[in-house]
Amino acid sequence: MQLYYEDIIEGSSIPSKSWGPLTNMDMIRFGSAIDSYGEIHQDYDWCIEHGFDNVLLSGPFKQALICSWLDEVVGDIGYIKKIEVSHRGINYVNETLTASGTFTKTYTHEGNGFVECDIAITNENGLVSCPGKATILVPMKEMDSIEFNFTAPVTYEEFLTKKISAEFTDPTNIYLTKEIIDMIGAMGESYTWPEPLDISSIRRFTQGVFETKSRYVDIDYAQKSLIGSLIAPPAYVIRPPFGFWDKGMLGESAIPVFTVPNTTVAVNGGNESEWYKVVKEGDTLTQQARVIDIYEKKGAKRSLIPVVSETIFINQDSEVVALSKQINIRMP
Amino acid sequence: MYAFIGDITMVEQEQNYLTPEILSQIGKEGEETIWPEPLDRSSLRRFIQATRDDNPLYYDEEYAKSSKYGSIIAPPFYFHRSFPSPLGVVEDAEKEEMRHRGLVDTPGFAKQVNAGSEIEWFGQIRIGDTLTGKTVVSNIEQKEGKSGPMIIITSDRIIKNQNGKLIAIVTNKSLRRQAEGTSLF
Repeated sequence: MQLYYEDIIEGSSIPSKSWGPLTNMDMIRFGSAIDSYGEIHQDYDWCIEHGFDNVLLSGPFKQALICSWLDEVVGDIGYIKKIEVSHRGINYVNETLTASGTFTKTYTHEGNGFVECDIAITNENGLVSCPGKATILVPMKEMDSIEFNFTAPVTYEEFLTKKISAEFTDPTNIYLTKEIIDMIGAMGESYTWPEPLDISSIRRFTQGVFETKSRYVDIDYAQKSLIGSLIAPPAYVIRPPFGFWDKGMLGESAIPVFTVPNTTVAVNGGNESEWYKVVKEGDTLTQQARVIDIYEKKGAKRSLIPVVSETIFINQDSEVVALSKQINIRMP
Repeated sequence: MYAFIGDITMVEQEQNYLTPEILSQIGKEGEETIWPEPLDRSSLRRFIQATRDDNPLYYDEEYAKSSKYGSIIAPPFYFHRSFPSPLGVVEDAEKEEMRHRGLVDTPGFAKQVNAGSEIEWFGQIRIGDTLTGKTVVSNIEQKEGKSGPMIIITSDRIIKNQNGKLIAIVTNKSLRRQAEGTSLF
């Protein structure tokens, strides 16, 4: 059933959705779909050796499940505009996750109906692991389609030329050495998808997140739509760059490879992404990321060193299709 | 084999586990399975990266064009990939596919291992091809192993492309040892 802007009551609950128990196989299937093969999401022995209880469900996986749930909420016509997810807790394989939330605010802008939502993922023991916010775009009652076409606040050129830096002030800090502080502002190489978006990539991803929305999986439906072809689910658009783990990089963006001294583990701290255009079958995206902040936060057991980066995603026509901010936490 | 019972010596017949029900499965055909979409670049990339195969014939269009094949081809063993569910279906079809390959039920001989394959290739796999696979049981026999009797199932898996051209025949031997339960899974 299609959700319409006029029917949304601020403060009302969003119907929840559960998945699980999510198995190691589910994690491997998702890893394959986004070409990400980090030990922390695949290798039980590695996880135990590094102080975890089991294989971890990945941040992009949980975020993709949230997107798939919201994509169901917005119905055939609606879209996800923005999502912000903070990874506050670890989820392991064999857990059952539930996405839930509340519609918090409705507003219109240039004829479009936007709804802000509070969202979260909770496991069967009540652990809230992914609190966050989302903005969805839903149709007004007279609309039978929405053209998802927005202008990003920054062009690729502006992204590349923006200056960011920080000053080195504390020589006693064993993590934030001068070399590390100097990484703030560092730009990674641009990374282009190894091939244009094809059907098997969409299939692997949609199967990996249990997604069956027509615009992603029904070729006839997609061909008759305004767009005229299948499109990529939003969470696929912001996937980590291919080959990423093979290069030994840490984190979920294409920032330069560097290791924070005295740290051995990296986990996903959170992600904030906004989409501006759809990505169609045949499109080839390029992404580029830069470090925008690195700092120390004292955790209960150990220090946490968040590395914050921002990533721009452009299509083959240099249009910005998405912007992402990623927090990657390094720890001893 | 000789068994001594008291002072009587007798020749013990090997027990025949090939019941008419089991033998009647010779000639049984599995369902035809089909790739969920024509072969595309990303599927091929994943395979050659997983097998660490850097032959440019499998990914470099210019190189492949100048080769005797005229375009990118898939590695010979690529046909052995699974036949997962099509786009839009999220149920795990791979097990279903394995069940089709299992084909022969050998009750009481549920411990199943792959004893090896013989493969003959007849054609190339190219981008845009959609392969189908079908398995036919060609023989069922019983043999004595060190750990007891075994049933050996020989089957031919016939792989064709979308034009009906034969790509490969895989002759596989599946070895079943005694264990409770069904060998179909």
